[in-house]
Amino acid sequence: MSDDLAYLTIAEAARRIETRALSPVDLTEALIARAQAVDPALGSFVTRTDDAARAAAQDAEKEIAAGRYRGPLHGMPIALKEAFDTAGVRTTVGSKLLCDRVPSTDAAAWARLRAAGAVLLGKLETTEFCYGGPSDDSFFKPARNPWNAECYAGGSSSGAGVSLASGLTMGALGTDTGGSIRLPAAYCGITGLMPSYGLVSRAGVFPLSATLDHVGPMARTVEDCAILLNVLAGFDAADPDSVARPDTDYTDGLGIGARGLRVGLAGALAQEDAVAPDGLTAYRAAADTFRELGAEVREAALPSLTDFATAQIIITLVEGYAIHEKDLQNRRADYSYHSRMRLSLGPFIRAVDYARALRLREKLIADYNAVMADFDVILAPGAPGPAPKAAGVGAFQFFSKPLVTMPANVLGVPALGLPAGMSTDGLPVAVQLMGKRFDDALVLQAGAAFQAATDWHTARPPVG
Amino acid sequence: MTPDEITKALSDAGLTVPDDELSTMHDGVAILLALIERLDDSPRATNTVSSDESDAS
Repeated sequence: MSDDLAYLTIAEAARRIETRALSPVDLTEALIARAQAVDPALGSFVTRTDDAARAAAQDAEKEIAAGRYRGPLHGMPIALKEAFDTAGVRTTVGSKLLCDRVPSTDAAAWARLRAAGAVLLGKLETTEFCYGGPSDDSFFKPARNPWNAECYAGGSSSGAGVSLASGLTMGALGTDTGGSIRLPAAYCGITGLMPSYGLVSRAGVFPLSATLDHVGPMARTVEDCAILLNVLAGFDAADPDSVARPDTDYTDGLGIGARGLRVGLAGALAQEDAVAPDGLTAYRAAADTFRELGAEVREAALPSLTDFATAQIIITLVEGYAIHEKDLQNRRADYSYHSRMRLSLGPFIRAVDYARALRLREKLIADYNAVMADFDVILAPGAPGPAPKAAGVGAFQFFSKPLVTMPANVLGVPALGLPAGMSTDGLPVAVQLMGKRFDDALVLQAGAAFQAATDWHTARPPVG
Repeated sequence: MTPDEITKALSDAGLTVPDDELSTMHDGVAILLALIERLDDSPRATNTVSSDESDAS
């Protein structure tokens, strides 16, 4: 199989499938063969559904041949993080505690993709309960970063980042509570969107934090994320925080460019104690790119990263502990090291502290909204830097060194992770674009302009 | 919190933490408590308005 086919974008593959220049069956078979060849060394898939994928691809091909083309995801092979329920397919959330769990229904997000004709290749590794890792004692071993196997692939949507960077799937779904879409995107060199809170249903997705969890697309380009979001977005009464929004084609504005956009620089997030030099270099270069594209780029006075992190960490711990309390009391040793250590902090947070964290969040949202009166998007570093060595990631590392991805979760605003450079060690580094809540289309527009002017998103790791 | 207080809090919560994990747990609790100290506790329940203002309905 040629790399050309493995690294097709969804947009290009869809054009070929619609015109019957590319068979969904051939594309699916090619990706299965590639996964068989290279994934044993990467570990991005926990479960592969090869036979079901072949059958779905054949059905798609017949429908398209009969003139019943459903749209750009028809016959498109994709994969899901292990947190998404899939009827009849094991869904473990990366944990020994759920190692035999087989849901009877589909997560709402996957049901939407399936109805659009997508083909399920399988389930992708996640750090345990979307909060652990990278733990050597994990029941399912952490996916390995294709750029350097010793490096962390990012969490918790690790398998999604690895499989996309390695040309094993056309697109994927991830979840993001404090950076779990954008960190693996950054560390693996792919593109990931955390949509606005309430835009994409979380029904049927195993929760970590009821008020911070987001579901979003991961792909190799902004355009592909927009194509996926077109299908994913929509009200769902099964998610209590789902919001009804006007129908939007998120690909509409992708060719508009960045001229005249008001881009705010997140200096409060781009601090040397939070971001490594390679990450800061990429961030400054991205600012220059937006200036060259005609954007109005200037500093935005955002609240401190530590305030965002304080709210994110305390809210996540309380809401996560509410889910895991009984299992921690009865089966704590069955959790992997990092997740049991982190979740065991839950009892140390009092109700009043949680209430104060919620109030801090409201204040941060108000402050951010006031700042955003003068900006269309915010440019920030996409991660603390290039991928660290997996063995060096401590249980409480991101508690003591806040993640630049945390603010968007606290705010509930869209955040788009974009490849933006390479480190001196040859690892991807990233930036992120944040917007106003439900301004996802504008964030995607700005991201598409950036990718039209740069080629970092086309870099490929040495796989296969 | 002292290490003994942390160990007791874990036990009171019904969590059994082996000895070889306690030291790291103590580190985590220390980081968490430092974050909690940052939380703003205003507005307080105590009435801070003047007597004249407090008469306003």
